[in-house]
Amino acid sequence: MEIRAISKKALKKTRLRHNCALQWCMNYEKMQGSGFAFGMVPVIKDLYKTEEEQCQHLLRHAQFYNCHPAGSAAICGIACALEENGQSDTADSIKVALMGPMASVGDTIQGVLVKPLVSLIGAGMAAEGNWLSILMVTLPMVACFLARWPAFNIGYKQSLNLLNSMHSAFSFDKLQELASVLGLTVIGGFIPSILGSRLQLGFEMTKAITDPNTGEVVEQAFKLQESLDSLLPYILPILFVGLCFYLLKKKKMTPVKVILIIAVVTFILGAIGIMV
Amino acid sequence: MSTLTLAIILTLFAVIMTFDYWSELGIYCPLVCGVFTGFVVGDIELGFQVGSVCTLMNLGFYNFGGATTPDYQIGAILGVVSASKTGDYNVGLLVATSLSLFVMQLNILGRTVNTFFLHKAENALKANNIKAFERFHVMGIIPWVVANALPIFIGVMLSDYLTVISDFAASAQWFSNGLQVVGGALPAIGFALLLSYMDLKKYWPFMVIGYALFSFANVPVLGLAILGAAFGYMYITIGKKEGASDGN
Repeated sequence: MEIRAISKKALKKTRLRHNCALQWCMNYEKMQGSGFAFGMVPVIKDLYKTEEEQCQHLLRHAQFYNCHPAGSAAICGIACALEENGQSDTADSIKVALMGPMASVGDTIQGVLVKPLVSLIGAGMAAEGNWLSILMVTLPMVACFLARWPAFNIGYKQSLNLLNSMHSAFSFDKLQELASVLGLTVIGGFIPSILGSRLQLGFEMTKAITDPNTGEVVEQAFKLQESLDSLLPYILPILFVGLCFYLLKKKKMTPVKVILIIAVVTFILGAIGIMV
Repeated sequence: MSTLTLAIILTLFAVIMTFDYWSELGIYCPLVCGVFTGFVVGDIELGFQVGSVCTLMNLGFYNFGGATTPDYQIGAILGVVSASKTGDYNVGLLVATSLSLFVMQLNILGRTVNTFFLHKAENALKANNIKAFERFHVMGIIPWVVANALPIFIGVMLSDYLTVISDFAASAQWFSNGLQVVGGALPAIGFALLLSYMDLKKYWPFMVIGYALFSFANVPVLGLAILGAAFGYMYITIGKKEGASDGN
């Protein structure tokens, strides 16, 4: 029987190609399909001799594929291990089976946990002109990028065993709970701190008040914003976020629609002086 | 610096940014884009301000499964340029917001044009030509580069004409008042969008805690983050004990 093995060099090349160039030809038809095949080229070249064979196998890998890049690195590792074993069919089906779950793990970690948190904290620091805000938004993303290398290695070493060990070792729920609590605490403080100075009522009334001591009639300015603040501080930003939330979640409007509605409404409110 | 030089520098940055868009090292972030542009136009403070607001507007947006989102990165770049040219921060925000939404459409165009390179790449594989396949896959990034670089180049070149808006805003008080409130309100949507992804029914008390900590005790950003992490840890560990006694 023919001995099949992937050289270390080819494996490294595949890893680098996959991790950097997976999405370069991102498109609506096959999404990252060609990117996955592009990554597999060095490995496939090692495993098959003629270019006809190689291309046939690359075509297999160029089917529709869409995943989160870090999760996909693990899948690519598994696919390499399976190709090395001659289990090409399993490699194909494992790609299809895993791309959904891996994408949801990757998207949740990066899109729900990491990115909003660092953006929130980074934007708050940036509003104060703090240079560290740049590191705050970039370093965690660099970490997510570098995570693709170990993800690939684990995928290649563990191959199909990864499916079993993923459930036991990785407590994803706990991480999500931690991030939800942390995120909401920060958002709770940020809504008043960032929007508070920007969203204020401009209503002003002057009232004639008779001074009880002297009996003189004096004009006193009466600001609605001040009495609102004494009722509940920052109530306006909270109502605004609440309104947007209602439109997005309950009315199921698209974010772009909400942006346009809010822009028009607040422009009018500002132009006629109800808000400042 | 002439407008053309500025346009060329920022267009080159757009090319780097595009590669980062698909590699995700964090450069493709409204804050980084804004501060870089601020550095180039010589007003870093402005870069921080516009970048910060664009980051907040971008809060809840994430391209889940490759969905398209408003391009607040390009918005931040053109917003800083506009604010610096006109001297009006609110005009900068107006440009940033409207162009973010407009450029998103180009993004969709990029994906559609891209299928041209995909078909070329697939045909190369069918013709047993790996080299050509690799070349066409790499060329697939061209529509993306164009989709980012072109609006930036054109936007910067046209930015001199924005004084029309800022002159108008300076003469019509109601107009600039309106713009200012819009700029203040738009980050609210970022917050709301982010909240719509979270399990508010379960975690709402922490939002109230955060609100109270800021409103009544003036706890700064980093303080809120540290307290939030501590609350999160407590939540997990205390919740675990209760869960264990229920489950077993």
